[in-house]
Amino acid sequence: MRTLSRAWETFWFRPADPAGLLAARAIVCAQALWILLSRPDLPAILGWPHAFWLGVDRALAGRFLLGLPTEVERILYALLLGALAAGILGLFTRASGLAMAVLLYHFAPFEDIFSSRGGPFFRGLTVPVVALVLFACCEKPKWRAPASPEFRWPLAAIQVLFAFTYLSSGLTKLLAVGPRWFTARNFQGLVLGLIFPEVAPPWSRLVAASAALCQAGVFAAIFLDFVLVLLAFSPRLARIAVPILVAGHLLVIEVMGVVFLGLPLLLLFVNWGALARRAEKILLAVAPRKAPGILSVWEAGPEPPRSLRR
Amino acid sequence: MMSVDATDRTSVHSMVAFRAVDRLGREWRIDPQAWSPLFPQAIMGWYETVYPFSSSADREQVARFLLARAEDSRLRESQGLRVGNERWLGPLAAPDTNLYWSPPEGATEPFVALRVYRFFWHPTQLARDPAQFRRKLFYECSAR
Repeated sequence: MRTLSRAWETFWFRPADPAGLLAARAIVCAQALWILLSRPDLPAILGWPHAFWLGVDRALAGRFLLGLPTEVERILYALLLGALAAGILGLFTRASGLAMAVLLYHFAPFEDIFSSRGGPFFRGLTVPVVALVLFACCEKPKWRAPASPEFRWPLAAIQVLFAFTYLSSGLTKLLAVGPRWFTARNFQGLVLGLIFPEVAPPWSRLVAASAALCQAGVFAAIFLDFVLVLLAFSPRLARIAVPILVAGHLLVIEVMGVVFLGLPLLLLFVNWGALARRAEKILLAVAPRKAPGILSVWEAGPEPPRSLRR
Repeated sequence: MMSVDATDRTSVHSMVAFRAVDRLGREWRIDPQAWSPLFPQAIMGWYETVYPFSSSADREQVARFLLARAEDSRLRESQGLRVGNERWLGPLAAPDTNLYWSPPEGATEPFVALRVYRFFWHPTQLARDPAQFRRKLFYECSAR
């Protein structure tokens, strides 16, 4: 029990340098900004004819804070874009973080609002919404601050959340269909089902015609859904898993035509602290006088967790 | 990936599909960017879930809006302008979660009507031959 408790404490509260959290903030803001800049007409949807809104009941509208005039929505959208851009540059306060989270939560379901079954879904913005809340609640990371548990737990929580999107996908398959989902015949049926009269994913026919490729697809699905969740718990595994995940998602596009908009969030698993240290050493070697001298900070050693400070 | 049982090979699949009609009576696919910020999948969803319970006035309101947006998109494209969700970021814009057909080329005449079809197919037959599907018109709306 004590070992488990120590592992828990180490996982969440082992001291981490601020680079990881600073990078995570920029990555999350950039991911959300990319999606929003790719939907310039999103606020205008409030002005779409009444008939589109017949399927949106009051409870749903209330849940996502709908009901403001379109012009106000446009202003809020512009504010959100500006705040996210500022967040990428490191201009981030608790208030701006919370405001961004609320606005993103408000706009995220718009694409799905008229007709979603089981949704509306946030289409790549679920992790950013939760991450922004965490960034607003945690201690503000400063570039030269010493390593601290305060810079570890928020990043760990976001990584776990992201990794569990894969595990929950696997568990849903087991609950909804059972082990039969993970058979070559079912995989083949899924690929066939994604060939539409108007469009077919480029490699779908090739894969559907091959029992071996369908079996390989099953193994890939098991790996994606049940093994890669471990990447949140092992930095070593993350080093291998991230390129595999990128390749896996690119294959899913080619075979099934399904695009995963959360792909850039895999950058959350890069060890930014180590990269920063390496860059610092190179800078020191190339131009010792100009180097800002933060190596001493990196090497200063960890602070005890705030929860243990008395 | 979808959490569904796809082992059945006998069931007929179906989907909603749209065509714009120009003033010469020719049918055109609609640019997937025409109804931004929504992609066609979301509009198909409205036809699947809300259309069956909507009044004829509501159906007409929706179809007229979609037709106007399709024509606007055709015009913008003919002027060499960016359309829909790609307006700001161009090809770097985040795509939808689904793949779509490419936009129609050579639509020089104004769109004057919208047709809404339901396509039916057997997945195994369609995989063998992309032309193996049938279509049924279930709604049409003309611009006045």
